[in-house]
Amino acid sequence: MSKLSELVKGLDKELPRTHQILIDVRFKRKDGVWADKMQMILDTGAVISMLPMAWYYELEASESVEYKLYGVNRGEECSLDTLVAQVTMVLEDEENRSCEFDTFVAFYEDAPLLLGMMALSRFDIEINSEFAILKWE
Amino acid sequence: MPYTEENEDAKWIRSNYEMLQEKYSDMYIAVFKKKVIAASNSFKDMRERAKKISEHFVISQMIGESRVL
Repeated sequence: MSKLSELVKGLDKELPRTHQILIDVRFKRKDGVWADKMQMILDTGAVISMLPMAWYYELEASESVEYKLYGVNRGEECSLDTLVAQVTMVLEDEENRSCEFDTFVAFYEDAPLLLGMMALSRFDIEINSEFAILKWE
Repeated sequence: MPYTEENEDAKWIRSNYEMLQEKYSDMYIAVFKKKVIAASNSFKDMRERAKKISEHFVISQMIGESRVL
């Protein structure tokens, strides 16, 4: 039982089931081949996407720049020193049409696989509690 | 090149999300033919383990409830 579940124990309630919204993406590798499919977590609160640093060395990426990112706490001690680079990715819409584009990604240690809103700027997005539908023209 | 069952594996992860989240909380996972072939808190470690089993796989990550993104 999770710690959150313990909070509602005895209240005749259960925690609601929640899902992260997973978006299937693919990145172009250094050798020009598309990497295997990756599921990234849609983060509507983030502008920029995040990926683990280890992935940076395998992807076709532009020269990187140092970039500080902040989360809940804006304090300097909680900032992340990331490397931001441009990468090429592919998203598929609900009709399995693929859309290839360049976008910026922040790379950091073992960062979560977060898909920020910048990457989705050319899509219309419909979201429910379990999944998102992407549409593009 | 993507492997044939890639889309099925991606769907399988979504369909089994709760089970996977409970079992692999805060871990990266590699899935091939509806099986988790590698899981680790380290992305690099997960990929190295998965590559020993299959050339291709779908990568995902299970985020624990205590993590705020």
